[in-house]
Amino acid sequence: MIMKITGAILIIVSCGMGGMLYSNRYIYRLESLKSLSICIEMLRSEIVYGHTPLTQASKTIAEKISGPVADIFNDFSDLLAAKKGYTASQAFQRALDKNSAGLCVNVEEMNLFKTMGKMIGTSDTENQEKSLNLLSRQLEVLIDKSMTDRDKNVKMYRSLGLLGGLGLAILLL
Amino acid sequence: MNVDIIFKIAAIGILVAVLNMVLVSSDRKEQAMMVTLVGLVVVLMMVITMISNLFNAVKTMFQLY
Repeated sequence: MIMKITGAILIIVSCGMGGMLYSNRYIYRLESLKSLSICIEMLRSEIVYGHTPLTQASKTIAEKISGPVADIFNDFSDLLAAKKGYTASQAFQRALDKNSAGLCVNVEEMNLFKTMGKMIGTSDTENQEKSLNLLSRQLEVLIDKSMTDRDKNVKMYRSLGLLGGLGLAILLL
Repeated sequence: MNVDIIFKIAAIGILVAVLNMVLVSSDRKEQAMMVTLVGLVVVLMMVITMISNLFNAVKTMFQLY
């Protein structure tokens, strides 16, 4: 009997935690998008007003925020500073590939990250400002979408995990 | 007479009802329907041997062979 109860508790707890972990993806996704939006704003002011070199600008940005997006900018800055012959877009792509697992974003949002990497450091101040404005507007739409997704799914996946575990335990008991 | 199965079925019923509510409230009506159906099938699987036993008993009692 003791064994049965222990097993049931283990199943319920693990299924509940599985649901929690899965629902956390939606929270992390929103956080990544929000910090990318902050990064874009900071990058814009660094480019337009500060005229800072990209290496230094991305280092400053990485220091001001935290999370996987900060890691991307940090790696990007390191790659540029190492002077291995990467263009800015190649370096950003590499930094993105290295840290993409922690972002929890879907394909559409990943494409936005990639677009940003491609336009970074390619043209003059004015054009980069325009592209960054465009990106930040696109990002706003995506943030809205991911917010509704979060509100809809987080609660559901949490209760789904717990109830699934409960059901499994009852079936096996 | 084993009454455990009644409690088990009741528990599954409550669980399916709650799952149904959760899924409907997050706008997933199809999945809610599927969960209800799965609950029904699972309970049916559990009682099908007992029902067949009952039919056999009825047959034997009225000598319907």
